[in-house]
Amino acid sequence: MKPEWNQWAREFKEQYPGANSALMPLLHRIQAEEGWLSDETIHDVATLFDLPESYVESVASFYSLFFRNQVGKKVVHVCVGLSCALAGSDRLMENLEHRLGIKEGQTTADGEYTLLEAECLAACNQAPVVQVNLRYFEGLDPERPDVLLESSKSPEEEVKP
Amino acid sequence: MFEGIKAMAQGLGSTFHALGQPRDTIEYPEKRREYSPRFRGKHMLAKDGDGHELCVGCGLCEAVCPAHAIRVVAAEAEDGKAVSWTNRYAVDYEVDMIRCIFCGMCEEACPTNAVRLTPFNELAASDRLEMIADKEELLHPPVRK
Amino acid sequence: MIRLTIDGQEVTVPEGTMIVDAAARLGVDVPVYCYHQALGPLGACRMCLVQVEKMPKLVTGCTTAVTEGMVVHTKGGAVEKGRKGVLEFLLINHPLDCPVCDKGGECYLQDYTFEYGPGRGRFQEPKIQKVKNGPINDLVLIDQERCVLCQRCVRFMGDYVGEEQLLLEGRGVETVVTTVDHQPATSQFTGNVIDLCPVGALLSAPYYHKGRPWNIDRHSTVCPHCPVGCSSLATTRESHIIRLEGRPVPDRDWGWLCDRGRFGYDFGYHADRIADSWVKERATSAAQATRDVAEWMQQTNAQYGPGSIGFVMGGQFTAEEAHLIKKFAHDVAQSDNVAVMRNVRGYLPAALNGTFQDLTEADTVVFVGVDPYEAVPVVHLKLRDRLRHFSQLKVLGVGPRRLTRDTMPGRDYLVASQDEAVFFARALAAAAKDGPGVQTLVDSVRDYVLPVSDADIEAFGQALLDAEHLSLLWDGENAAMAEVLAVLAGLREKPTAVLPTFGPVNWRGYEQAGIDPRYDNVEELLNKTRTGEIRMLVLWGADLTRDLPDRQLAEQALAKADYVVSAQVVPPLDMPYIDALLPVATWGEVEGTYVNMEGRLSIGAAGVQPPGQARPTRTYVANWGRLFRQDFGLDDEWDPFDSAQGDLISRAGNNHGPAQAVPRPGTRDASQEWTIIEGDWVMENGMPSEILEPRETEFVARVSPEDAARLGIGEHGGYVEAQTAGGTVMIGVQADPAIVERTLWIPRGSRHDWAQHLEGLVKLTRPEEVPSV
Repeated sequence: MKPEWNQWAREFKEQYPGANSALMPLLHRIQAEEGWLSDETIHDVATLFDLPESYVESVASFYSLFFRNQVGKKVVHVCVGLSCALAGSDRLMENLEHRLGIKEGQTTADGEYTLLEAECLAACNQAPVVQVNLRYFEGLDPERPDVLLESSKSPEEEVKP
Repeated sequence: MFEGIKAMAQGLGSTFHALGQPRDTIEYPEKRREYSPRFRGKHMLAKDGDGHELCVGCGLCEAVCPAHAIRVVAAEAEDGKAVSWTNRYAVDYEVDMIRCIFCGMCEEACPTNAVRLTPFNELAASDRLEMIADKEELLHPPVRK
Repeated sequence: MIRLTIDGQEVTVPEGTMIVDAAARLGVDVPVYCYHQALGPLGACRMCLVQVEKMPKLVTGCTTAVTEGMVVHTKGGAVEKGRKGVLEFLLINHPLDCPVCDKGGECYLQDYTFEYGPGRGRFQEPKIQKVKNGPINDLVLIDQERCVLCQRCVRFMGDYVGEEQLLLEGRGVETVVTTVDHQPATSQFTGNVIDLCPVGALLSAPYYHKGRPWNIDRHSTVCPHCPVGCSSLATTRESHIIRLEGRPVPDRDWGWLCDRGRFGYDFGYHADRIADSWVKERATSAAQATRDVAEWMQQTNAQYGPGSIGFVMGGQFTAEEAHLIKKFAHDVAQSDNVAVMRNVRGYLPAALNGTFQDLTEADTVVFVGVDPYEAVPVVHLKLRDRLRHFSQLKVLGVGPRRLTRDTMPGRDYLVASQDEAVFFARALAAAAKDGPGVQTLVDSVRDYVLPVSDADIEAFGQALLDAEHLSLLWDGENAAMAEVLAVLAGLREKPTAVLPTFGPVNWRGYEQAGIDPRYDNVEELLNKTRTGEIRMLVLWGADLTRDLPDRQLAEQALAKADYVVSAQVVPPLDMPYIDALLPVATWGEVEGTYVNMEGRLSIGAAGVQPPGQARPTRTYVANWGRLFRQDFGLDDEWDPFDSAQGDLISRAGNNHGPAQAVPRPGTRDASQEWTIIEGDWVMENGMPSEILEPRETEFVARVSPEDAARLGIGEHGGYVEAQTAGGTVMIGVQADPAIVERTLWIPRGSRHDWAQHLEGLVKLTRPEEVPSV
């Protein structure tokens, strides 16, 4: 456990009526620093908020933007919802897999990219859509994954929770 | 006396008549009868193309058997030593051929189509115990000559 | 009370009742998965959809409380269509592998699909694959594909037991039930999720693929492992008990079992089970052994006259068998020296004995020397149930270790076992100075020094007196407590109930059969044996060296007796002294009456054959009677229910005489660094179980975490050297935060021989060499 977690836990507890509701902000905060949520992190957060470990684990595993495995610097979520599927998201996924040399669910060896599926990202009008970290890339050409990888490189556009 | 000869001639007459007729009996076991393709004889346990038993030991045949002739004991296969196509298999499978009434309900109840009634009907033994067909026997159904 | 109409029938139910429960009163079956009366409503499965007039949509019957004048329809087109839809959804990702599913034939998913479901699903896409037969722990398996996510198991472990070891992981169709960090669940109550699971997702590992509903028999019985005597169902197949399930009793019992009881049924066919007769260390036929023993009895009687044979009842026999032994002893063997084996000195008169109903009404519960989670686990669950309904439940622990725990929070008063009665007496004297008998109680202990402050003592006494409904659990270690409890019950005008947690499991049944179960009785019997007045000992399930607190007396009596006959299920520690070892039929093999710690009579059914030459008690005594050429009236039908009121033993009689002073405890040897304390632990009750082996530990003794750190004992325990008066022994120890420093806790009646050899413990040291386990 990092010493500052205590401080964060206290802050979030003050902002919310109960530990249950302060849990998600704290998990986000920790993940922003650590990159992912390890078993130890889950355990520590449970201790910080005096919640059952099972509860914290349930919450962390429920939301797709909490990572329970180590991920790369850029997490690429390819939408596989209906509109995106019709617009060729499966091709896009294939091309990304080929381009990055990994399969869906894996991380590149240099720790740069993690490739994941996402259920509908609610931007169907701009299908196919890819979410890189928290930023949307819309209306992509499934045959040109490089465009996505190039344009997602600029770090100043990063959005952090 | 004439009456006697007449009766004898009549009797021999039908004998000689029958001699010329086609026979109803056959020379078993050298010759065998044809049965209906749906004839229900002794059971067998089938395997799939990979040599795995189809029977998973669910015991539905046992449950449905009106004569209580079937006994099934299931077990879990060890990892990598699959006997059936799934991890459950029948470690014991016995059919009491004396009790069996060949109704075919087991065949009908079987969810995996493992138990089948073959046309084999030559069921005879000099010992009652021999009439209980165990799993080995059922996996290697006898062929009717 | 609220009146409503369900399917045209009127019913009146209390306020707050859910529609499904109201319907159940009318015998109208509303299908449910997630709802369980003990766990409360959730509304996760949507199976219980019913139509309520004036409501726009179907509502879930399990989460909708009844209201006045409500008109409910549980049948009809809309409801049927709703249920059909719900079932089709539930079955979308279900593997439909009923033929290989252990639940097949007793599965609500099958039943309801058959009754309400669609003939076939319209979903043709591939089904999601999940973990099949993954472990919850060594005893419980989970098939995540079959799960309908009703959350009964998760809620049971979390809300009911209070040990959050199961959780829902993931989201949507990928949600699965799993354990925290995928580590095995360690709770004592995990097996209950098997009974709770309405589908085939949670399965019993030892029953895995062992039986199907049509080739098994179910016998209603009681669990024999601790004095709770949980109502249960034994599943038998081909003369083996292959499963134990809980058997709910309406309005009284949810049918929970602890893992010890649920999975500990295999002692009857365990490798250690005695199946042959042994006479003078040689195997012989049952008939010969019976004849030999009869001859010894005749010889002893002829030589030393009546009363020269002593009988000690232990084990898990039925009350009827105890009666047979008593009757045989009196009528044939001409001896009234019949006693009940005891491992503690306390005795509780039936008049003070409470029932489990008292636990469900209690506002204050006192644990006297006993941690119910370990000794009588299902009582812990009953108290959890009470705590759920009454969060102000006051829990107090009095004993040499912490008796409350995270799941049963309360206050502990740490006093030595021998001081428990003094503590109570002084507390009463402080809180009710003029109470009848109170001053007599404390006569000789007024100035006795207790490790608790006077203010705390008075507060405790006040808590005892103020409680609206007081329930006490007592381990029987401190015999003087009986006196204190009697005075306490006399002082209080409000209900006071005591539940004894000591064994043997059916001691109350033996008492009903006419055998005095007091410790003094067995002590006197053994003293007579030591002095030579009794020449022959017949031990019916009793294991003197293991159980008797006074081990020296046990050994001397055994050594002195001319003949020691022992009828046992598994080899006793008495083995070196035994002349004839008789294999005897036990629980599950003989039908009979068990009386549990609340004094309730239940019938344990016979379902299987005893193995080998093991024969029932009745056969032995009948044969002996015949060999004595004496008909002793086996047809005299004594019925334990005759003296009972309903199924509870009579609480009358036992009029308490004038109060007597609590004796002053002897002074402890201050030079002794370590204190040894004993406690009941249901895992270590002497009955072997192969199934429970993964749960067993070699490290059965416990010390405080501080001591454990000092001794270098790791997380899961380790061996230490104990220097005692009699030499050095290697003992298996683990850390337990409930134990106070410089204290060594050992389970009573442990199967480990060293547990009886710790008298005069000088010190514990880290061993030079650790023996391999």
